[in-house]
Amino acid sequence: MKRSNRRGVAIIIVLTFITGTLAFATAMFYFRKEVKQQNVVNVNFLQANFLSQSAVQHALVKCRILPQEAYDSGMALQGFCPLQAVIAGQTPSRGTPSARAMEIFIGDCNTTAIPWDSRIQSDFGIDLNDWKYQVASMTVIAAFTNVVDKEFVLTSQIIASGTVIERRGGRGARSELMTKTIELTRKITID
Amino acid sequence: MRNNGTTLLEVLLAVAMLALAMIPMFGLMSSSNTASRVQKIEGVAANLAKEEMNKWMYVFDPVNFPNDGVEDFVNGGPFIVEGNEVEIKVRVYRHQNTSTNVKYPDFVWHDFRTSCPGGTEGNDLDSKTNELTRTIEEVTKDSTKPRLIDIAMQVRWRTPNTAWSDVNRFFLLGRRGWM
Repeated sequence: MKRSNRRGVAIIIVLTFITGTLAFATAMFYFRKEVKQQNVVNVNFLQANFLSQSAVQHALVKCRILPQEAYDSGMALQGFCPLQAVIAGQTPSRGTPSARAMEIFIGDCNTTAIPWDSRIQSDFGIDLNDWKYQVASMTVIAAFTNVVDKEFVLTSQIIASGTVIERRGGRGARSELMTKTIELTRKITID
Repeated sequence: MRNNGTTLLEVLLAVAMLALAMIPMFGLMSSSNTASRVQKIEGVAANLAKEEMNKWMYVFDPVNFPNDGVEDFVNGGPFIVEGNEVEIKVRVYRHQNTSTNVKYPDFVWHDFRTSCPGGTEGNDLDSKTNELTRTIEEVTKDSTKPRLIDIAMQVRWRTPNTAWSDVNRFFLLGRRGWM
């Protein structure tokens, strides 16, 4: 009697089908996990980014309320005398640069010197020690005299950083840097 | 002829294997569907939060900010997105000018006409720079316009017919400078 070669084919088909479906389910599981991670990463980025923006805001406020000191600190950083103006059109040589004034100026642009309002901790139940920002540096990237407007112009670059530890997802600390370029000017009048 | 095709036993075995494999698979698919929906709304919540925080940091006039520590619901209540809800709650906290200090450099007087010709610093400025600390009010002569304002935001979301959960939320924190 001739034996059929289709014997056992149902099990093979079912096994193939199950293997395929399992592979699909596994891929779906990992994709889902990745999307979840991506969401946490996005939120983490937002948190650190807004903290670095806060640091820039802090530095800008200081420049707004203490414009002369901001300008003078930049001048000292360049080796120019903060007590007198560089006359427009002149190209003075630089003396010894001093970073001390700028260090003082940006020294309190952080959450250690001016902490978050403590009520946030009780109102939102978050640990404020996990949320930090600081102005890392404020450097002068250009300094020149504008002869027409009789003013000395300093172009300054603020580099700020924000760091957050997000407990959700347990990803540890996340930091973001932000750079802002501003222009500080001093009018010169010569009698 | 009896051996042609599949036997009943073989079919029964195949169906049993299929059933065993498919039961957890359906469960996985169902939970995956729910999780996908949660993840989608989580992404929407992040985008909404970014937009709202930008408004509070740069667009809104601080004059119109709510009173210190008072809860303010953005949109007046949850945003409804495809049946899901996203709730954004904001509180602001003003740093009073009368009690918030700023540090700034103070340069020791030196005769620049003789020691700093043409504006070039001729001294060691490090030793001629002192640190001063004053309140913002002393510096600006203004006690009514708080220059630094903390903005705290809570964002949470939920799918239809589910309860609010601490798992599905995050916070944003920012400090606005009032120029």
